[in-house]
Amino acid sequence: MVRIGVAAWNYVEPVDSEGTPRSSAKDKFISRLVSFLTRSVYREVEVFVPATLPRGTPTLAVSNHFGGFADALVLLDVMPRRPGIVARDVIWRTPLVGRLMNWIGAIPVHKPEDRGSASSNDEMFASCYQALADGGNLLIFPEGVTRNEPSIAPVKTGAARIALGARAHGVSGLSVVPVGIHYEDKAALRSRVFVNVGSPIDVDAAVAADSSRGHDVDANDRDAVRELTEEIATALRRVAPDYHDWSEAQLLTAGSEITLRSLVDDPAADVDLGLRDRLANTLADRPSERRGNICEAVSSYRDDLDALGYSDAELHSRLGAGSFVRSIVWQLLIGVFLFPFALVGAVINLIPFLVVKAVGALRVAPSMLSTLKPIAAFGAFGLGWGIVIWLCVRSFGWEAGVAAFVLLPVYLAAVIVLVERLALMWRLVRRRRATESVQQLPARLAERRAAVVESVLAA
Amino acid sequence: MSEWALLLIVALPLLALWIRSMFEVVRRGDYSATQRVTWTLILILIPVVGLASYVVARTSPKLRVSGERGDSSRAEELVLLAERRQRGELDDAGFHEAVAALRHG
Repeated sequence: MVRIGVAAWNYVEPVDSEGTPRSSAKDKFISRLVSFLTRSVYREVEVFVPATLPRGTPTLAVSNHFGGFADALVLLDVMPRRPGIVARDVIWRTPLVGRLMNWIGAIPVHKPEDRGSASSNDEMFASCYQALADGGNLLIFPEGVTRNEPSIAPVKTGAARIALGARAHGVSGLSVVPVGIHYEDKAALRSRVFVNVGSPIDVDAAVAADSSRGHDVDANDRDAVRELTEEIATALRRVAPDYHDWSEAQLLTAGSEITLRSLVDDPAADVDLGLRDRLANTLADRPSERRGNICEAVSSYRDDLDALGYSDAELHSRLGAGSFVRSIVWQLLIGVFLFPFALVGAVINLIPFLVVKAVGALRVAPSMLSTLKPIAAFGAFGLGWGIVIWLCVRSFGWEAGVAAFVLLPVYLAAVIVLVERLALMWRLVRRRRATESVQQLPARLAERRAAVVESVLAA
Repeated sequence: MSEWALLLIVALPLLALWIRSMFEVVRRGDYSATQRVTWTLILILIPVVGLASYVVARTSPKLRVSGERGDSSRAEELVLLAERRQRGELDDAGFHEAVAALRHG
């Protein structure tokens, strides 16, 4: 059974007289849950917000869709007010997922190619207009599909029709905010994710710019819809990854990272995922000849690095023996302190972890994986922890259950921190080895690295 | 032995979390004085359950949000320049001039 329009009216956050959202207990619970999930799945969530972002006015966020369910999770976490998510109605057919969608107040949209669903989207449009009129947020993935290529699919007209229709229904001050989600590795656990928010498109201004049409533009005005859709597509290509192919995506990103590393004072520092991908995005827009130059320079530098067996960051971190030993001892101390808690955490979380790993080993598209993995993690860890809490209550009384509820996340955090400390120690060892074995950078390597930086800056 | 283990595994993290929450409540700028006093009393007077309710009730900490600040690093400045050129606010010559200034300035 397909449920359309259920609960579509109650997702708007109530706003008090000063315009600050009053969040209910449910809102708080959802935001806690979402932030716990994202912070467990990702090592770092970075957001870039332009100074021009409007506050307190209705917004329609349009985002790229590389990661399926993970996209929604990340955006629910970083957007200041929980948006109503416009999603394909076929998602509602999966029993539990349908309930989840209703619970977070998602709005089902019918697509003509999905058979057996509603024949019109009138209800969807009405829900969206209502949400925006109440000063709420909406989130839509205007490509309409999850994507496994590092580029933006043709943008559908839905987002523009919602925006223009809402304006025709009396919503003023509406802005369309382009959002680009960049995954360091979308199938990996504990990697980084970066949310790039672009300059908002003022819908009133976009309509007024074409004065010949006057003010009676609505969702059925084909020219206006086409123009706004084009504007949205351009904005989306600027904020989201949009490369010709995976090889170009990798090479331009690597070139961007090397160039940025050459500009910071500490050459061993991790380059922010955000800075790296924002620069790489602008490189992807350059003429093909200049892109080719960068790719060529990066390829030959990378061949040299591979022959040597170290990465660019490792080669440029001069790690002295003294600070190496100090860092290792410090990490070991933290590790010893964390060990008992991490051990408890490992025992409790082993089975849910294996379940998630097993799901991760499925042979499906990466965007499907990033949908399945968070859902599997949610189910497996939720069930596992529920059992532990129930066992505690049954054997030691309800106070023990409450204590377990508080401590379970702490034990999991101990495992994560311990594993990451070990990874850090391994990186320190590699940096130290690089420092010792490569006393002087070979001239050819330095030259090739300089060529990468030049090609990026000259592009 | 098992009592010691229990103390280490259960009591120590609870105590650490409790102390951290106490510090957080007292310093919270977004709470009114009444809220701060109430939460402090709850944390002191109701062991474990008070802590659990605070853990549930507290809103999540701020994310790392980067913005177009004035005091940007050279790397950040390069990215901002490249983005301005992409938006058409800066032409090629202007971009390369600014980049040269950035590298040698």
